[in-house]
Amino acid sequence: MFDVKGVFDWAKENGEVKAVDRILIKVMLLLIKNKITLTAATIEKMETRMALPEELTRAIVRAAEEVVGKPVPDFLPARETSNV
Amino acid sequence: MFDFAEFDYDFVANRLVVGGEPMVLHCHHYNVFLQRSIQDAEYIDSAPILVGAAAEVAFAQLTDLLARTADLPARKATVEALYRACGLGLIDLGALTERGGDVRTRSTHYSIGWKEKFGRSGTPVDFFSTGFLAGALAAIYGLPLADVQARQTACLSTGAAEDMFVLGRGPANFTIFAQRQSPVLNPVADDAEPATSVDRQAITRAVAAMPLPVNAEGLIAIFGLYLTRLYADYYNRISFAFEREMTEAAGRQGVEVAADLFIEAGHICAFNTLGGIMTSPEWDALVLPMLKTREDWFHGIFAWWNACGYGFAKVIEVSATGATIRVYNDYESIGYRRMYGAADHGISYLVTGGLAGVMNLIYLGDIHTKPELTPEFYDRLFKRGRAYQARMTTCQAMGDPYTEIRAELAAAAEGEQRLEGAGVSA
Repeated sequence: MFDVKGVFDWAKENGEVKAVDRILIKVMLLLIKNKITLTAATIEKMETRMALPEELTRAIVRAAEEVVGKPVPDFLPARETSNV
Repeated sequence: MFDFAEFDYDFVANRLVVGGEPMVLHCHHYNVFLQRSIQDAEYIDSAPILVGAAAEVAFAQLTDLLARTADLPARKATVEALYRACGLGLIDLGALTERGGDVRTRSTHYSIGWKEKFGRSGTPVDFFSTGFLAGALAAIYGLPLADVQARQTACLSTGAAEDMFVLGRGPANFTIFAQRQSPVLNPVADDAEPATSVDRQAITRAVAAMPLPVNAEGLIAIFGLYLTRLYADYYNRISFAFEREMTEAAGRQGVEVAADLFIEAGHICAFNTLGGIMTSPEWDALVLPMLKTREDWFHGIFAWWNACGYGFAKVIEVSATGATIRVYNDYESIGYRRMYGAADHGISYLVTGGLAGVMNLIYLGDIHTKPELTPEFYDRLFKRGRAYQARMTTCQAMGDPYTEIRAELAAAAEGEQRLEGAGVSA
């Protein structure tokens, strides 16, 4: 399962103060399409494992890279949660 | 030359109305952050809104201002002088005809301000000037606004040598909005304010009379930033028209994330503009001698704020624990009601972010020590730990007699993550 929280945390650390909100507004239509409610506050409380459709996670990564202005580190999308 | 001093500041409502349009002061930080927040929602075609909003207010104001100027060169000169006096840059309308024409310039606030704050842009960014020039073409030649077109074909922000705007005739290529209703102002009550040694009225009157220095590039470089005196209803239109599009596209969730960004724009405005003011020689000369406590700083900056055309702010309560202000006739509420009638949620985003910003400057940022207001300082203050957050408790746009904002220190979340934004009253 893709660790999308890690991407948001990376964006917050490396981007501006409102990086997460900017990502959310960019991917808002996909969130609506998938009936997913995400806010900056819920992301802060989010557990690391959250199932999101691949189309949405790709969009989040893309948006994060636009907002921060550099590529998401390779280790973030590759991180797999343990099934143990 | 265009001189704003020829227009009386309304000290009852704290407004400056020029050619029928209320004018407010905003910095490049606010201007481009607000615009970018709107543009971030790429699924909404925001360009027609951004251009149309500028065209709307420019056309209305210039039609009024040019009503007694028949001479064509004089009409053009007035528009050029107004643009410059606003801190928008330099334009030369000499080649403009009734059919349109090209306008080139090496200096515009939005292009230069965008590059200054965000670095190079991939595409032109000066939607405001595009719309202003459309409104100007229509007003100068007495044309219907719906019969002019404008686009920006080159932009300093992309690295081009100049901005280029192409004006022409044909069905408008921007949004033509429904006519605004007449503004309705509420009476300002005589609220009890905390005692202070600060002579607030004297500050407001002095600041309202203070001329803003426009440099050779037509920009107002002051307080460490670029300032503009722009149309309240430009900001209102782009914010609220966009918000309505977001409501259609994304419902409440979309509106809430947009609101957070609009409030952040207000926070950034306060941090940079009010922070710049509080560290300026002008502040040292006029206000500093009156200040004894941090609360005095709060009173002083809101007295200054009252001279900027935003509405009439009254301080109800202030301490390190938090603050409450009441704003009578905040420009966002006045504009919203003119455009869309009564609001069903709080929309006074600027003043909400602004109050949080002032509290953060005074009580967290130790503005009295004159820190450098850099992006790094901003990140250090607001990415970690606690900060003041503000929320609307009433909103004039919803039918309340005033807009009241409350700011408090946000509870630290686990792991010291800063919580920013405000709950919007419903």
